[in-house]
Amino acid sequence: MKPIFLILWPGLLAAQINVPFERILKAAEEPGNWLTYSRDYTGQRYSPLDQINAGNVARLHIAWMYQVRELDAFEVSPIVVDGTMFVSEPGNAVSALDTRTGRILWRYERTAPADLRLCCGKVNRGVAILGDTIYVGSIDAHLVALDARTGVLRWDVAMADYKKGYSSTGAPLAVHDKIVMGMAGGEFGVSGFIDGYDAKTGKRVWRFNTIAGEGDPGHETWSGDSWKTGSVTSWVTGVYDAETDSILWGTGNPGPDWNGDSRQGDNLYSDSLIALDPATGARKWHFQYTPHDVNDWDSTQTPILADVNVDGKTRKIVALANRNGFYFALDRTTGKFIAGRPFVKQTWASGLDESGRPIRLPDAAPTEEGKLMWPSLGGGSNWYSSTFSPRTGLYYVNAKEMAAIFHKGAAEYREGSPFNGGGQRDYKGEEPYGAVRALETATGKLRWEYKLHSPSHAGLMSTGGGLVFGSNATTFFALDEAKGSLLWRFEAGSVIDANPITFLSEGKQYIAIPAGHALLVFSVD
Amino acid sequence: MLTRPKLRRAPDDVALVKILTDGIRGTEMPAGLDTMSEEEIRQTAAYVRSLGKIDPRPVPGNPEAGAALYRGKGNCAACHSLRGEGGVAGPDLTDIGERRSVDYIRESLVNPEAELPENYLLVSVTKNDGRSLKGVRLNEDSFSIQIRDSEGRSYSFWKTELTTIEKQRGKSGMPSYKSSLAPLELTDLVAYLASLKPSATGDTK
Repeated sequence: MKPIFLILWPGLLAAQINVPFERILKAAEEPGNWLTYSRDYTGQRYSPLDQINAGNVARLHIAWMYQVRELDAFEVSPIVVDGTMFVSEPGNAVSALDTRTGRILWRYERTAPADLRLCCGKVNRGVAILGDTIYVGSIDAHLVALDARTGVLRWDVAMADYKKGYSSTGAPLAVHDKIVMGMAGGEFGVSGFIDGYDAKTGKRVWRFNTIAGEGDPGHETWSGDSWKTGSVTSWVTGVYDAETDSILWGTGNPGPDWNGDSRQGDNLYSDSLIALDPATGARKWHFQYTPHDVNDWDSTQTPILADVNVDGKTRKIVALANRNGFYFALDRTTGKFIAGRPFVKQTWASGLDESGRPIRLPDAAPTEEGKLMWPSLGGGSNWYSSTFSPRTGLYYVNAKEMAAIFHKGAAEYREGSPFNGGGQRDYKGEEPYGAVRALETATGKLRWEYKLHSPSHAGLMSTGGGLVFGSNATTFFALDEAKGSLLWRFEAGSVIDANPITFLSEGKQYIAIPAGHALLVFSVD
Repeated sequence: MLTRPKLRRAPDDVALVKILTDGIRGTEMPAGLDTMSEEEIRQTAAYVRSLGKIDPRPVPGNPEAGAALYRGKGNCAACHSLRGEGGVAGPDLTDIGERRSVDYIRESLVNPEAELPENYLLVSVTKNDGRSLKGVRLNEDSFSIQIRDSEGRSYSFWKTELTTIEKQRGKSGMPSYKSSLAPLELTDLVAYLASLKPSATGDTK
């Protein structure tokens, strides 16, 4: 039997939602959509849209809002596909919104267990789409596939056991026919991984263990049995380099976070960028930003792929302003260091050696009494995205100028319990502050900064309109890309912990940012 | 359908008491706190749990034959999905055996308009230029309406763009199988649908 109701409106047929890999690969050809976490595979978080620009941004105003139901930090970077926005929300929910009106088309909610082990709330940073399926990680470490048209569950696989401290907060990355997914739980002595799943069936095709285990190169960088509880998570979305067919994904801190006594050595592949073969998960290269980290300086932030001029030659760079306070430009085809320098005040290393390895100063580590160090455990920047504008060639980072008194404590591993070995106290001697900093991508040299009264916990986006959007505390703002001058701001009334995006709906440009428990969507009339 | 050991929304007793107290947002399940004391809520939770221990009634019919009818003669997959694979005109049936009783499933096949699922109100709208569209209503307020067609495409209209919005209350897009299936075939199809219980087979939900 056929369904009784059929459509008799060929002129108005909306496109079926369908985003094959090739569309994401060629995201540059459809600037109106935002098809993956960072819009495209480069991680640049740059949109060529220019309807909203320096000339009219002062008239930017709210178009519609969407309010989440569960009160927790709202960190999503939505995706937008042909007039539908997909938003993941605290509390294991995903909603599909009509971008024209902001109204809900469908909503999926998955009951989370009550006995979660979390460091930082029931957050989720977004979904991925491939074909007509939406993929999202659940806070209890499952990967879930939904019909993009209806929100109906297609499959649900456990990545790891949440009772042991595993969770999932980052957006998946769809590459070829795989869904690549990281995990969280770095404060629970977990064993980190990056997984590749068959997008159709949910079957795990590969797992890259982020801790070099027995027989792996680098295993000798963990003393004793410390590798078994070494953490090294992967909780922010990586990028994909189509030219070399490589996934580049960042990894988190070794555990216990602040006491490295039991894990002598560099602790590979913690705080590293890892290049993986998307078909097999095999490691191609790695670069470790913070060998033997004792400050919880995860290096999971989304890196940025850019082609820039270095000494008269175009170099294929992967750039990252790292939580450890240094900016790094690497050759993304080899993982070799090109240039780097501090982008915030740091007091733990005298500089970088020729290979880019930080030269740690004597006694630059937490102590039982407490050791004053810059940057704080929040780092010179954190999980939220930096942005690169091909218009200016600049790398823009939301930087934190903040110190902390790091202390070392005992750490005994118990399954599913915090495994920290210390922590930090506030340093009262200097008031912390933040800044949007524009860095030369090839070198990390500061071009300009826009100072912020307090450190931010929110990301940036650059646009073809010559704008850099960012946030500080409860304010969302737009800066001039070339000078860093403030062009527009909006008081959102609650803290912003997220990255902005932009898209077209019926040919009109919108800007979206989560603030508090609302997704704010702006336009210019 | 509470006569099963594992409740989808209430994996543990804490969650069950919370549901009885607060209801389930976005569904017909009301908050119980207004009508029941805390003690009564605890007793109700215990009763609900006891239902999961009752041995289910045997379902007549041959589920394997019903599965063949689902895929073949009944053409159910044209409009319904299992695990998100299949049509989108009607509700997903992955766990229909958990959500609905045998009697309810039979009635839905014989007389689809006896009770309609949520979010499947059929609407027909006409645009200012005379063209019209039919689908199920996803959302509506004073100013706009969102509709999904039987192919899964979503549409959104400002009401100022529409001349008519016709709501076919009590109507279902589903045909009756009363005459198109023989009585034994119907019994087999019901047996198959009643067997769709992912939690009983240990499948992930």
